[in-house]
Amino acid sequence: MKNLKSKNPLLSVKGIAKSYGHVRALQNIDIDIHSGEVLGLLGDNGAGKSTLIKILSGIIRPDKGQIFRKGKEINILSRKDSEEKAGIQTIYQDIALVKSMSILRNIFAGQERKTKLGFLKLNEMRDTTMQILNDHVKIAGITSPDLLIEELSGGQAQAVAIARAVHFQRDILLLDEPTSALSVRETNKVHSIMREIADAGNSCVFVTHNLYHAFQVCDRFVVFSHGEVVKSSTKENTSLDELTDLILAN
Amino acid sequence: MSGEYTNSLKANRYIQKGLFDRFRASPAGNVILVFLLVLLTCSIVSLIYPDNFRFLSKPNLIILQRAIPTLGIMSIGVGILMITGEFDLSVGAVFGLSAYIMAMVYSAGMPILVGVIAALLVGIIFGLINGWITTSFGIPSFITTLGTLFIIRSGGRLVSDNVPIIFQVPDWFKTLMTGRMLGYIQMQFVWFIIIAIIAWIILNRHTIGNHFISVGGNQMSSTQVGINVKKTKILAFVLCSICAVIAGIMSVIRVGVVNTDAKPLMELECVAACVMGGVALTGGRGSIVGVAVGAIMFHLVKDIIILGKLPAYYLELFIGLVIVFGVTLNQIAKKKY
Ligand SMILES: Nc1ncnc2c1ncn2[C@@H]1O[C@H](COP(=O)(O)OP(=O)(O)OP(=O)(O)O)[C@@H](O)[C@H]1O
Ligand SMILES: [Mg+2]
Repeated sequence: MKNLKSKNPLLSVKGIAKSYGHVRALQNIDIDIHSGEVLGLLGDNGAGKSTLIKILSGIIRPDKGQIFRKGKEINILSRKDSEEKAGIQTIYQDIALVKSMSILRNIFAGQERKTKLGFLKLNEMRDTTMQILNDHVKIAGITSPDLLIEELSGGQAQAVAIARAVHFQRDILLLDEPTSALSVRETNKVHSIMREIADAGNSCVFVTHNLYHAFQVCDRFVVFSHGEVVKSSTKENTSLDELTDLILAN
Repeated sequence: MSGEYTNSLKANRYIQKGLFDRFRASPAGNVILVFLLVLLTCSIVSLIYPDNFRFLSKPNLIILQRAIPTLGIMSIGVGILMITGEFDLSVGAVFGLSAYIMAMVYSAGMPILVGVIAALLVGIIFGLINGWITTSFGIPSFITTLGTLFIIRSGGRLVSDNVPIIFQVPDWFKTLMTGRMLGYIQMQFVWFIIIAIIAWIILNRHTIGNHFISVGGNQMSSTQVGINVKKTKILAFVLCSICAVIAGIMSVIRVGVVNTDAKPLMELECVAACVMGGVALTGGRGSIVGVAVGAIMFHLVKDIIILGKLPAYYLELFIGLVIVFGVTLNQIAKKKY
């Protein structure tokens, strides 16, 4: 990890700012994301973590600042830009699934397998869904890809969202509190998925309130407070106590 | 791979739902069940008392097949739009105006198909307007289309000056749209079924339909997975208007008289048919089969009331009860199964 700093970062944000009315959600944010690392984004409620995630995934636009991919400036104006130009897949804090649709249709929503005329290849999608559910996150209690999301528990639904993002993986995976609804087993699974992704040379950005989890899986930490970065450090150069103090300081 | 999957299925505590329970829990389950019961009862009663209850008589079957498609085709459009989470109260007005435009263009000496295209264009334009205003300015479609309902109606009077047009379309067109096959089958009904099948395919087997349901079910998450919510909704508004135009054209060419004054409350009858058919007012839920059966039920009950020589207000009473109890039952069924 130590020599990563010298390399060109995979993605870097420079001077990002975003306000909602009178609330300065983010100010002057500089962050680098390197290949092969799991980066932990930490901070108290309302610190601005989700706002940064949303900017990177094209849901909202920053008021100021630049985003570079491998040194080249890019504009992320939409979810599509985020995926195609920045190479980002995102798992959101509020589960982004349609409750009245089946698991299968949710997994492929927006990226359906289809014929030239736009007809759905349902059989192909069903096979892939079974594979995704088996391979990535073995989810307890999911009996069929045709179950509706509203028939699942919160944790099962979250696991489906994770399985989807991992399946359509690009080289950066953003996870905004992905494990808050998951069981211990599922949480561990998500952690090992993040590790696998990083070890394969891609990167993960992990937002969590659980410092123990963060310390377990992350290689580097960025701590937010009131919309600003107050600390950026590798795992070797910090400790659980220091991070706890930083988050509680304000 | 899938073997492993099934193994993990067996190891869990989930009770497999029976086919019947699954069917009842589906959005259209209850209405289809009630429909089949009513149909069966009517047929039996009609066989026992063929003179007093002429349900199975040829004239009655023809009347039903002429009446159902107008509401049915319009409701399919309204239903698709409701599934995307929006309303269209202007369908009745579009229905009246577009038919008038077709007759006007045709009476001016143009070929009938030019008239049909003109009518479709009118529908498409109002669909685009409804959709564009609703999605661009974040106005509830209930309000947008309430506005366009009045605008289109008054526009219609302006165009028509309240003078009806009397016209005779070419025979081939009349036969194609409103003729009879094999003695018992009305073409209107055939078109209704064809349109229902097309709508079913769009909704269940096409990417567009997937996006309709997704957008209606959760707009935020649809945006997040990259679905263009605005485009999807505008398309649904346009399809809804097109259905109203088709229903409008079909309903005037048999009689050959058209005025722009649509039957009042048509738009609400469509919403009623959709709700009976299990379409959720909140979007994201509903089936074409349900909507079609909802529309059929509407006229079936009307028919029973006429055949049984019951007071006409029984229809409204029935529709009211079905909406209140039907929706409650659906809610209960969803929890139970
Ligand atoms: N849509 C919005 N409109 C107005 N203010 C917002 C909006 N979204 C976020 N904010 C504000 O911006 C600030 C940062 O919010 P953000 O969601 O990024 O925090 P967070 O770090 O993700 O917090 P948490 O850990 O609770 O999820 C907060 O003060 C919040 O109130
Ligand atoms: Mg957050």
